[in-house]
Amino acid sequence: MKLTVNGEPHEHQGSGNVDNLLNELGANQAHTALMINGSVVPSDAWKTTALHENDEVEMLVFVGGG
Amino acid sequence: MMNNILKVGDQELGSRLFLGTGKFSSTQAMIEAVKASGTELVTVALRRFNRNQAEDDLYGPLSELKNVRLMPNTSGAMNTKEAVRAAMLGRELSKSPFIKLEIHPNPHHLLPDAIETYEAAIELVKQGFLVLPYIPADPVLAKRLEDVGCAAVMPLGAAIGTGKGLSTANMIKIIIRDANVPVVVDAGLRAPSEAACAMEMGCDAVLVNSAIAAADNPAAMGAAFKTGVEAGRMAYNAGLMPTSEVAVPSSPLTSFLSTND
Amino acid sequence: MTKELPDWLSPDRWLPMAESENTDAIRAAILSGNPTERELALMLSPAAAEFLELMAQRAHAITKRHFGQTISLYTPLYLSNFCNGGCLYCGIAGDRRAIRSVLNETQLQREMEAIKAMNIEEVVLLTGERMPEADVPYLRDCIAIVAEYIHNVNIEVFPMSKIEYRELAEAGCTGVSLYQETYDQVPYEKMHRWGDKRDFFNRLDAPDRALNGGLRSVGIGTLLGLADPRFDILCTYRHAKYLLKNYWKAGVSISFPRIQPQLGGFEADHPVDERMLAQYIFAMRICLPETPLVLSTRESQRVRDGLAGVGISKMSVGSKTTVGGYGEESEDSTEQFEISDERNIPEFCEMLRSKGLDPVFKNWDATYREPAQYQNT
Repeated sequence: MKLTVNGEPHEHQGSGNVDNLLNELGANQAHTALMINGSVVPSDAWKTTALHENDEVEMLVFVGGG
Repeated sequence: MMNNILKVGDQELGSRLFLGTGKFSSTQAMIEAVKASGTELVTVALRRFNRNQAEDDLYGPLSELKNVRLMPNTSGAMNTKEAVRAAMLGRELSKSPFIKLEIHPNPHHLLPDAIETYEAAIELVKQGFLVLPYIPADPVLAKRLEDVGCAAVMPLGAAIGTGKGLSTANMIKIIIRDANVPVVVDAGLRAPSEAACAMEMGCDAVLVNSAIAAADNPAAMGAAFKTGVEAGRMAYNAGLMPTSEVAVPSSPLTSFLSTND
Repeated sequence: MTKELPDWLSPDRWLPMAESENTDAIRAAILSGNPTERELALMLSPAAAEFLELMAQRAHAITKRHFGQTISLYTPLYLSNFCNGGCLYCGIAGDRRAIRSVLNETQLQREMEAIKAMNIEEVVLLTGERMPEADVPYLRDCIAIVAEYIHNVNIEVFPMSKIEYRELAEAGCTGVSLYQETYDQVPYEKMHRWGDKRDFFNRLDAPDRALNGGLRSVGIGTLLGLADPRFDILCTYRHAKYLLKNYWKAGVSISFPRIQPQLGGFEADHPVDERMLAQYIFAMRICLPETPLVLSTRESQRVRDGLAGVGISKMSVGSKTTVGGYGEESEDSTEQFEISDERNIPEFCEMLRSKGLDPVFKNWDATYREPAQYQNT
């Protein structure tokens, strides 16, 4: 499945749900916030949220900031 | 009567020093500075996940600190829509109602966009955030933001990272005089004495980042700011001796008054 | 029957300082660059009288810095002296033998022609307590007429509800003067023997209702002489600060009426002589640099001339305290109080100019303003 993840093209090999994508990318789920096509997807919905062809996924973490 | 707990909305904070977590040489240095400063509220920014820079992820180290709550900022947002989106994402991770609303479209000076900030504040209050907007030291804007429900206002002392101290002191004094919500000086402070000065003026808290991150010894500077903020607050509570204007003698102005009426 | 004053108003913490005899502390208060309640209390103390000239110099410098060399002028216009009020000190109280009258539309227009011809741009419309002869619908009609002539239409009438204030704002009313008379509830009860005015807190909250109803400015103050003036001045200051903080777009001004001999021969329990009056005005100016401080024609020519620009930034002029006082065919009606300064407008302006002060009649920001702006609604 072709996705755009954090602005880069990404070929998803897994089951097609969000949970699976995060594992595939090696992200720590507890540390990550997620947005699909501009909408925030809360973590308790990841297991049940399916991805679709050409979805734009943003994965964000906390870094230092003032 | 002189309660030193700071209330921001329905939240209570035991320290009046807020810390930014950016620009430190290492996560370890940042954590040590946070600990030494005694802060209970630190700001964090959101960035895209990058598996090659996993060490930048501050969630783990910060969540291990007791008594420290996270306040995501909206930095990077150029307008209202982006700021609201950033805030929603930040809340997913922070599990706290605090949001530092900052919209500064110009990357050179990072000065806040008052108009976009105002619009975003309205939306974020609606979404249930405790909104702490980073703003120009503009007394009218501060009241407008209070009117739309911001939990505090954070006027800048000087531009971010300039270390020029309380350049806007006269405007901040007006903001403090008029405000019914906490006033937090954000940006510009370089030395603990300036933090003390802000607190003596009646600021409710200060937010410091560069001054601590860029110090030779960030942990020691964090402790110094802690002391500065506490001293300033104590002095404010103690009631400072008034300053004195020099009297200018001129021709008598009360000779018209009768002495036996 | 008395209830504790709310925290934002109570001056109790500072009252002891108003008895201070520490002249070093008093001098420091006068010269303070950031005066608060504490400095005000010190300046109100009897011992501060010795520094009256120093206070005048400071008050003069501050007034000049914030208001320039100008004095704003307004004139009162008595609509009605019908009153059933029980104010012990008032010449038109319900139990006074008084010739009662109320202006009709034609008479009001004639008054306005006369006032307009004098270049006045701000009037204060006055009535007694709420009466069938002068109720809210009557006031609304009067305001609408007056607003056709000038933009700044203020009222000094009975307290009313927010909805009533809004009605008046929509008719063109821009401000309200509502003096608490005294913030001390014991003399307040004694002075106000019957009627609606006995409700101290209803009166106290009226400026809030007026501003919430859409009026842009409020004038507050006490009738000096009814109670300990230092208590009342401290409360007035705190009330002004409260209003400025909670209604940040509102104009707040402070007046300094004091008891003068009048019909009914009322004697003040706490007489305030003119030196005390001056001291209180100077102290207030030092503590509130930007607030209009108002002096009426109750005061003598000499006192008014002396205080113009020295603390005081706004004055009434051409005052008639009788109903129908400006039109030519005015009937005899009883005065609320006696005016002391009888000069007409040109004479008064000449005096101001001779002191280097410019009389200001115009307030032309009103020309582009929308009819009524509501705050906090």
